[in-house]
Amino acid sequence: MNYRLLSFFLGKLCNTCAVSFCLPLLLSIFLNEDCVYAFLQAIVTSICMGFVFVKFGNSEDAGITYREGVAIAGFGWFVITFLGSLPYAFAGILDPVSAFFESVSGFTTTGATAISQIEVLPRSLLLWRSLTHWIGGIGIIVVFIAFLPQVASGAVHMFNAEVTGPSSERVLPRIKTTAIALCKIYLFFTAVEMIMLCLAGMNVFEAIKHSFSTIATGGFSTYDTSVTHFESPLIEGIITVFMIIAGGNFALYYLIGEKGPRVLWQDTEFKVYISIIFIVTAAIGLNLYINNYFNGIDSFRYSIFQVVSIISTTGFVSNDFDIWPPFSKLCLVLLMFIGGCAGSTAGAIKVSRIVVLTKMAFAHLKRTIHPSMVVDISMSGKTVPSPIVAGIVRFFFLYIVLFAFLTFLIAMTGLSVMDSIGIIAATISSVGPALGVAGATCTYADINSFGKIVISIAMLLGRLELFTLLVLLRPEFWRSTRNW
Amino acid sequence: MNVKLVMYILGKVCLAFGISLMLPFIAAFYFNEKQTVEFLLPIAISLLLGIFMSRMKVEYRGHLSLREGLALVGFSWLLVCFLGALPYLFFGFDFSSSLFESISGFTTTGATSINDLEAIPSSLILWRSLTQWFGGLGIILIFITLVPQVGSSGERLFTAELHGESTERIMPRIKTTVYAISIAYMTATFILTLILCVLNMTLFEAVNYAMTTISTGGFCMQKDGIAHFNSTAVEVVILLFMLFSGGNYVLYYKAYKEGFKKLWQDTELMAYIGVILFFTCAMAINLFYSNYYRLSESLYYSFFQSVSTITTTGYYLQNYNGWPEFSRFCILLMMFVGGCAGSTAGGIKVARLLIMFKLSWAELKRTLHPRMVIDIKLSGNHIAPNMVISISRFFFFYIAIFVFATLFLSLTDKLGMLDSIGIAASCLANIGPAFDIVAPFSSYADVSAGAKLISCLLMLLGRLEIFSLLIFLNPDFWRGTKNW
Repeated sequence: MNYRLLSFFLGKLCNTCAVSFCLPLLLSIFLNEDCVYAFLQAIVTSICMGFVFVKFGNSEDAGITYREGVAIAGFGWFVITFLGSLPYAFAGILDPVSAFFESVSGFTTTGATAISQIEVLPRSLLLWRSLTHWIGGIGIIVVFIAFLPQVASGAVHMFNAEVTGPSSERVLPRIKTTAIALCKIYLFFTAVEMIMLCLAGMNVFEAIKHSFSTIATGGFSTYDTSVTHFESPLIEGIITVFMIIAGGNFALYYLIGEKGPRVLWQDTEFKVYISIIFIVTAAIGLNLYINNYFNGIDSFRYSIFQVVSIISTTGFVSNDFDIWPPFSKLCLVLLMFIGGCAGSTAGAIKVSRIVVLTKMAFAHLKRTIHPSMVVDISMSGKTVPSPIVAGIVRFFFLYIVLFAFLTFLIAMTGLSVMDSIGIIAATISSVGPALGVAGATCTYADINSFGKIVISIAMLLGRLELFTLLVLLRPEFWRSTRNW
Repeated sequence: MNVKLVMYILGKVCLAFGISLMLPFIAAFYFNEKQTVEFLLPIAISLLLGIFMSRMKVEYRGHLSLREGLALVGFSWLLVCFLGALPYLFFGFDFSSSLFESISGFTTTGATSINDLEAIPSSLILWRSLTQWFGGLGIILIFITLVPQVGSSGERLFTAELHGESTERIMPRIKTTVYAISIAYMTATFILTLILCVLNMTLFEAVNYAMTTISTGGFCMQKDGIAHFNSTAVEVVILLFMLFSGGNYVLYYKAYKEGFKKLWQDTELMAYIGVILFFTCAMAINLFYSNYYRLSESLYYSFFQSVSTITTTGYYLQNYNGWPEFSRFCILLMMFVGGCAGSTAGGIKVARLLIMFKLSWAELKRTLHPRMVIDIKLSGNHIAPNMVISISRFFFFYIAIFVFATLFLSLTDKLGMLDSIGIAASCLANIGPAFDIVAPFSSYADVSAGAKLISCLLMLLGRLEIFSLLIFLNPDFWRGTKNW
């Protein structure tokens, strides 16, 4: 492994982080808040770290191979989440572990918060929280590829290590153009939502933060009660639409610009994604209505918001779903595992993987009757190559196993079985609010430090889709390459 | 598909069934019970059905096709389960409870819907235990040895029946294997009966408990189960025999022939023991530090419960539902593991999990060396790619069915989230007791009829390893073969 190259990129990352601190710093100076010094300290720390890393590093060595790509993405996420936790810690609002938790939750677009009272926080710090979502949503590596000249040859390895989804198929021939296109679409949606939320009656500050959280499918709100606070069907509607958009494939949206909207309906994954939303909304809506929770309209209003919020792994709350009937809650837990489309900012297993798994399972069922049959699994009219199918199967297995293992760890802290299941399901898929102690109206503040570290790991594993972090555990990864 | 041939063999199954039902009938006379007609009617029905079906003119081609093998396995289980429900029905239980009891027996689950076990006649108790004993070995498996016609194609039945992944045959002729395994099974039951008799059980109790232990079933004669005897010796003996029953019979036969070092060379058996010890330690530490029991008791109770859950027997000494949350979660996890392939245990099976783990670990290495060829070995044997695919498929179906069953269960009355999860996991793995409403020392009597029927389906799916039943849903199974 080329450690000097790794160091160079990590250094650049620290500097980028220092730049991004400037926005909340300016706001805090403007509003004359106490946390000015916290941001200044954080900036100084990042610049120092960046200086040391860049000094040690060297970008002129050989290009980026798979190993370096994975290492940059893997360690990059640890470095940036560490730096991101500094403002919370320096401002004295959270202890170091909780600060790290909050930062990981922000960058991985989870939206689980360890702060029990959000309203009393300085506004600049709230902006930083939402900003971590927004940066994490697009992906720090994608930002890198778009703006750094050094990554030219090995970009593909870095890109694949961070961008989610089962295959590395791309709409555009060059990684760099892809990255820039993604950034443009991302900016565009954020701006549109911001304007619409302003028109719907939010103030500018809230609108900025909520649109950052929505497009990144994050879920940090500026209120303890999340979207419930606004009590406005119009705002819920706007956020719902943008959550659906954010849970879809961004590359597909680029294609709409090129080929027109019909590409949406030719895409298997998008169709299944929309169908799941409708089916589960109907199921939960009926369940709520029949059990006399709300009247007819409200049942479906709350149901669609919550379904979209969870399948897109955003985690906004418009009604306390923790008191809903068991069936509705289990449906929501199931959605936590499904997640959005590949190439979106959503987490979890992803719709396309579920589709491929289901098709594979049934195709092989058929093959048992006709043993010499050739199994062909296709998505959107294209055959999925068998190595990718195999990879998806492994991913599914690892996802379930890691879920079970992390739940095992979190249950050690004494949480109840359902709470543990809910918390890990909600954080490994980067949703945020879970059931019970970490439910819709509660926070993660009461979980002990060990639990917070386990949850932070769950969030990072989920965001980087397991393999990027797990590969770091292989001894071969660290050995020299001479045998190969 | 040769419908007549299938019917003919099913007729033979009915005849055998009628004959086996004579045992409790005789017992009823022996115990001087008033209710004997209740057995006479089912005997008459199954014998008549059997005679009618086996008079079918069969045109036998000398082998069974795959479809016929699958149809035979699936239908004979369904048939036997329905016929087995008749005695309960005539004894005055309602339809869903009778069916539940019968399926729970034949699938060696051991979940009971009878609240007051002491009140029902001894002959019916014997019938309950007998269903488990027959179910344990697999009625088909006994049947191949009795009906010579099946001949050389018995292997197809064998793979559909003894499922698991290591149906590696130890002798060239399948029939010899089946004989050997049946004899091992009977011998084990006989030895256990003897030991239990020596330990002061009555002969009747000893026979019943021996049958339900060796089949990893778990039906008890008293509501407080094994704890009723209040004898550590009985508990330890049953514990050891459960441990034995969760292992691979084919391996035992091999060890008998080739020396006992075969046992220590088997990866699956070692992993099976390892998993049990791991969970025993985890739960014992948890119980001890939560001040539930003394250290020795903590170890003993958690060992007993681990073995009982992993072998999918479902006996209990203590009400684990009252244990700390972490221990309860461990039990939930163990429900998914299950025993070794080639045993009477249910669940995912240790061998499958091992292969999936090895595969995922190898896949991580392959991401570093993309041109690497993955070769997975289990106990020195190569695992063919086809088997890997079938394991992946099984794993996906298992999880998917668990999820949907949980959702449907939560729609029925009185079941909370953890109730639904517990029942689904427990029934799918053929264990029996679960959490809260169906905790140890209580029964499925309080569960609604709808939930009972869902549980019945789950038990059958779990017992037939999902796929032998799902194949019936595939339209190709029913279509003519002319196109292939």
